[in-house]
Amino acid sequence: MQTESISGLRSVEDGSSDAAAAAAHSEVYVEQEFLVDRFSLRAHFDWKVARRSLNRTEENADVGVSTIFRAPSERVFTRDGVIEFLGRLRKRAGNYVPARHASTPQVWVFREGHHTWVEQDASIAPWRYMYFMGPRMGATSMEVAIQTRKALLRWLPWLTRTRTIRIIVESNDLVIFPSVAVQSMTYQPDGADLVDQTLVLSGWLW
Amino acid sequence: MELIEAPLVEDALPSSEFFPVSIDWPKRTLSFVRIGRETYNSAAFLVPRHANMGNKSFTFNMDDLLLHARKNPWPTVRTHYVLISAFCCSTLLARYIDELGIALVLKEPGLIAQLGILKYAHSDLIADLEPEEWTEMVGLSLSLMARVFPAQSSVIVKPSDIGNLLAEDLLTHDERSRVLILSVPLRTFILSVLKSSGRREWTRARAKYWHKSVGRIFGLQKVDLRRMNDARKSAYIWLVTNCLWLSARQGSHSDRILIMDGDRISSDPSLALRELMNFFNVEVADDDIKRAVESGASSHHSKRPREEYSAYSRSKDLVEWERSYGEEASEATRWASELAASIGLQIGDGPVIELSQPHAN
Repeated sequence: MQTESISGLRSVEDGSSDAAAAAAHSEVYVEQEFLVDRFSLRAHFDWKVARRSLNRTEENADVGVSTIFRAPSERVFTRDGVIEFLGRLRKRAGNYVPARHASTPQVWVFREGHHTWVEQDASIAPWRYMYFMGPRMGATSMEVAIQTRKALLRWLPWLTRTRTIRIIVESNDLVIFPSVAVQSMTYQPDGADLVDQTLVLSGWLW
Repeated sequence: MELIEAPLVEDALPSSEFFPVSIDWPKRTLSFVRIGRETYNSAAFLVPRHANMGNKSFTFNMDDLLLHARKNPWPTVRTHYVLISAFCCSTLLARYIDELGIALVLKEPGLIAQLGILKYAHSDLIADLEPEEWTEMVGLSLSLMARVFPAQSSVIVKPSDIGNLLAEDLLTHDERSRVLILSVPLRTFILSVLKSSGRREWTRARAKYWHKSVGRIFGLQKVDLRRMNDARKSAYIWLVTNCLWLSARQGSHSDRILIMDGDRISSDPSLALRELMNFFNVEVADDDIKRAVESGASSHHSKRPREEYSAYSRSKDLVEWERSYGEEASEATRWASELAASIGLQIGDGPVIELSQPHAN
């Protein structure tokens, strides 16, 4: 295993000796400091959570991932903050992948531990995004693994090569990856209240 | 704990209760209002400014709607369109169709006009708008116009005259769709404008808008609106409107277009409705047509239902308008004929300009 820093990626680890080449091959992109003013969006969330007395977390498990909170963002954020987020996302995503559309993110707060996403469906859209937004006073750092699989030969579809890109993400990082990839992350909640947690915003790009 | 602030995309999209009213392209959002069947029937214009559509609007990320449409397309019915010249008895026609009860009638939905405006806008309104994105928006919007309430099997959309900007797009979106072009002869159009100060005002604004947005496209850029009276301005609008219909009339979908003189809606509604329903392939009994044309719609003003107004009143009005403004109308008609000739078109006596026949050598 080898870990090294490359342009656009804070930290990458994969099985090959050339992590940058592996990242490019796997089509995983990370943009740091994605939002110029991330606290504004975060404040929208905290305010809504407080206003709705949602501060105590509730556990549920769906789509194979254990969460303590999950909601379509239009139910949590005020509209303008998300519209601004999506506007920037469309612009920036175009720098990495051929996409001009971005779906409204779902907002996730995970249970402590390791989670593997099972909600992959490339027929909906070819790309997904994850945006990490930590609390104002907290320091987010978590490991995200994106595993992609590619057929080596067109006429032998079962012969595939798997690559796993491991990224240490921090607050205000955006990750773009192929929809067919398997994502997993190790999540460490911080405190018992929603407003203390790192939010993961995820959606589709096409 | 109640989290609901707005309907979810999957709840709103398949339901015709959620009616799309406006696009905000820079924000890439589409807003809806929630209205019942009775609002569809009673509103002469399906735009929030002119109809009681409640005080809440629901705004969605347009990409969410596109994504949902791709994953879970909702059932759509056959949709027909009535394209209008303005002042051509189209509201009366829409009221008759409402009375027939055979289709959901959408009267002047603002969204179609907005799509037309976006198509030809040259401003910040359309920053970054790629042609394929515009086409996607049209596809989504027209699919939203093709939803019905239970027991309805078709939709008839009567866009405002701005909707003529989409004439061809409406035909290409769905091969099942047919288009009625409802217009009046140029002279009637001019007289209909001159008789009212409100219409004159509308004409000045519309002439300005057409000139700015499509004048150049049709070779009319040399027209100087500042030197024109209201009669000429109305003739200019009539000519531009006809230019907007031209490509659809001359294109490969022309067999799905019917042209009708709007005066027939007032003077011989039964026959006009029968012809139209046959063209739209909508089954209607003669008795139902009779009931519709004998309803309050035929004896009251279409846009001001409290005022009595009939075919007889309209023909009397036309005589009066001719007496008052005939000379002005004649001058404007001559001017418009010369202008039309300068771009290779010929204005006849009919409700639309004549298409030149291929010459046999």
